[in-house]
Amino acid sequence: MDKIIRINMSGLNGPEIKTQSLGAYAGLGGRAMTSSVVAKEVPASCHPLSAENKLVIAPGLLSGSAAAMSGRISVGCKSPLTGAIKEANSGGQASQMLARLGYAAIIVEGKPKEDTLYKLIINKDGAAISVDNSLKMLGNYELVEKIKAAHGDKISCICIGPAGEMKLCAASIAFTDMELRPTRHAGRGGVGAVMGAKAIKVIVIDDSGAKMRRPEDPEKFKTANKAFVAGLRKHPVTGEGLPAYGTNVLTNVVNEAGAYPTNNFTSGQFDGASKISGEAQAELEISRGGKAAATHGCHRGCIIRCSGSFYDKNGNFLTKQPEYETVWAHGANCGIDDLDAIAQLDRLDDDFGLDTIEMGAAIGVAMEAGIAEFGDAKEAIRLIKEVGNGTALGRILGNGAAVTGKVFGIERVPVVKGQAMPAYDPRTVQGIGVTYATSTMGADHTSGYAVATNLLSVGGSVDPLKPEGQIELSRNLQIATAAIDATGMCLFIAFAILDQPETFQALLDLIGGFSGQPITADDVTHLGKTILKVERDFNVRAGFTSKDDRLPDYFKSEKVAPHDITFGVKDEDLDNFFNF
Amino acid sequence: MKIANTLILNLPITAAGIFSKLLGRGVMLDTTVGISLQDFLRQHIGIKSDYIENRLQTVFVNGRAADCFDEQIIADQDVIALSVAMPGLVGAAFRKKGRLSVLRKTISQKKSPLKTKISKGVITLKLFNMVAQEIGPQILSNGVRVDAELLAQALKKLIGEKIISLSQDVKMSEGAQNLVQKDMQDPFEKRLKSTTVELTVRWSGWH
Repeated sequence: MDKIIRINMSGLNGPEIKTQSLGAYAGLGGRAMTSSVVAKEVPASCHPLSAENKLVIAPGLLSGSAAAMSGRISVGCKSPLTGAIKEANSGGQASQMLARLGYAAIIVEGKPKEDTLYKLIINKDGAAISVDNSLKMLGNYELVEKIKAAHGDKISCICIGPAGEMKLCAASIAFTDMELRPTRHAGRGGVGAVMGAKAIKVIVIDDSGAKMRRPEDPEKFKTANKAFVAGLRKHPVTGEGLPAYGTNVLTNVVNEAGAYPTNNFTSGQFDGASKISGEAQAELEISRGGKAAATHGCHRGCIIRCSGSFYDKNGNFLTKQPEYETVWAHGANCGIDDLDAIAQLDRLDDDFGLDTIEMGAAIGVAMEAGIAEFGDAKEAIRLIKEVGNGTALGRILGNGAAVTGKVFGIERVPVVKGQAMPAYDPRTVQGIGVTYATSTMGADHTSGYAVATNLLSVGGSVDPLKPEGQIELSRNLQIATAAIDATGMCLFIAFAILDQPETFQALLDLIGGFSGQPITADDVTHLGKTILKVERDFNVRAGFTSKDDRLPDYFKSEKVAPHDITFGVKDEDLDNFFNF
Repeated sequence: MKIANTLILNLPITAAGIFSKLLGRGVMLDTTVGISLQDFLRQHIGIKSDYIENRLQTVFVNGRAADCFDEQIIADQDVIALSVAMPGLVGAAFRKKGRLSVLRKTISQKKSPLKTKISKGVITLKLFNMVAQEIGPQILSNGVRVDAELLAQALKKLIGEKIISLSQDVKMSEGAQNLVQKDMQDPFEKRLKSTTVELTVRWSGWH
């Protein structure tokens, strides 16, 4: 990956494409690349949908190589949902393909004046952009079918649905999977709206003729990759739980802990949890059969395979296996205990190009406002269709939970920096509340992942029994996660490297073998800290202060069942988060 | 007079997965209480020590994450949930004695009273994910009390998939017969609702 492709949509004679060397961005990948470009090139005060904002799409450092699990891709911009810096992450095939073509980033800047829609094609000969207004307001599924008919099935697509074209704050960017279906999404923060503002409907990537990226030290790389894969396969989470049940394996356990937000965060337990659990989902998928039913990867080179395929009652493919967050957002958070209905909502989200977490949260708020009854799956489906159809109500919901709450006068709106909270109640698991509050991204469950903090020794070793350790630990986790996000590695590798030092070493050797330079845990932490500081600096310039690093007040006063607790981490402790 | 609702099932071990929902919702055990969680799992349930040590990484007692099984005293009406290690930040935080346990300190198990009386009691045991697969058959073969509605759902599925025949593979007490055999066309759960059945499963092909 030795070049960047820049598309200036404000060119005098239409979009202009330039291919550049990496320059100051050499050695960066994934989130390190997207956040560095946004922080350096985007005026922090700009309107997120303006010509000044940039959309950056970057494969991870190891993407395009034979490294297992290295197919994640980052999307960065100033977020229309939060007004802060954003990195949204996705699986799918694009990361590997772009990297093999040698591109470390696609940077889309400017904004066309006229009301046109563009198709960008990237292949081994370079890039070409053309107007294609026939694609207007197509859903992602129909769009991809049309692109496939024109360009064959050896491609991958990065695209937006109607939500992105309408520039809704919950709009996602879709990445096609191994079956060329638009099932993988950079969901959070409204990145799809920024792509819509740039008027690019689809980026078609064709890596025909491109070769796999070669490591600098092939022998070291090969040995490390083998050890890394063995470590993932032998670990109970990555080798058993995730392949068997997917991420939805969490439902029963989080519900048991009383941390499963239900009916718009009014309770921590859902009566219908067992009906929508990973166990129930796997049983249903297996009983219905079909290709890749309960176990499937989101990109080639994935060996954990936490995904699957959801077929309807008649055996027709409906959507990919809905993930834990989706099942929660459209399920418990809206009082819905029907897996078929949840899968249908997931399909609609993917087709319209919407973040499932934000939409579940927005519908939960709308249900509290009386727009529909909690538990009414048919109404939830109708509401998502309103979003896709661009009705007035749909545009309110499609701009997320915070806007929905304002419009309908609801106080209980579970957001931080305008972004909806994921599937863990921060009153029950207060440590994740620290991450929700302090993340540069808004409420985000992946910002502070369970990465091997003690192995990394970021900021010293944390005593798990020390109460005040929550801030330190959340900080360490966020630093380590930022670094992993730069590699293109799936965050689920965290469990194996958390528990198995030899697997963590294999990861370091894998990166070192690929780059030809030995890498240490200190290098990883330095990278993570640099990314967080760059993101924090952007947010400060955008007007954010420590007062934005807070949960909504009601989490401090409203107890949640069954443990009847409120969020108790002090503001002054949260303010210490960025002291590193 | 109490009418015994006992039901004995003869099943191939390959059908064990059908009970995953039932095990996830919980089965009731008449057992000894006032003992440690460790002793309950090992001596009264029959789970091997290395399985407890290595496999049971996520355990809750009444919704609180348990860390020290030998210090945790179980009491009558407790709900115990067993799981393998979980993914995600929160999943990792739930792990027993985990490095991230401070993240869930407000729902960590509180210290048990030092002196407790050993007596008879009832425990609800929930088995999730791989644990349901791995030790569920053993629990069911020991005999448990289960929610009749959930059992009815499992029976319907077993009969529907022609895994069992009601006449050959199911032995029922008079009480259970009254519930089950009135009318085969009616949904079982209507008749069995709000009661419990003592279930024992005899597995074939299981070692």
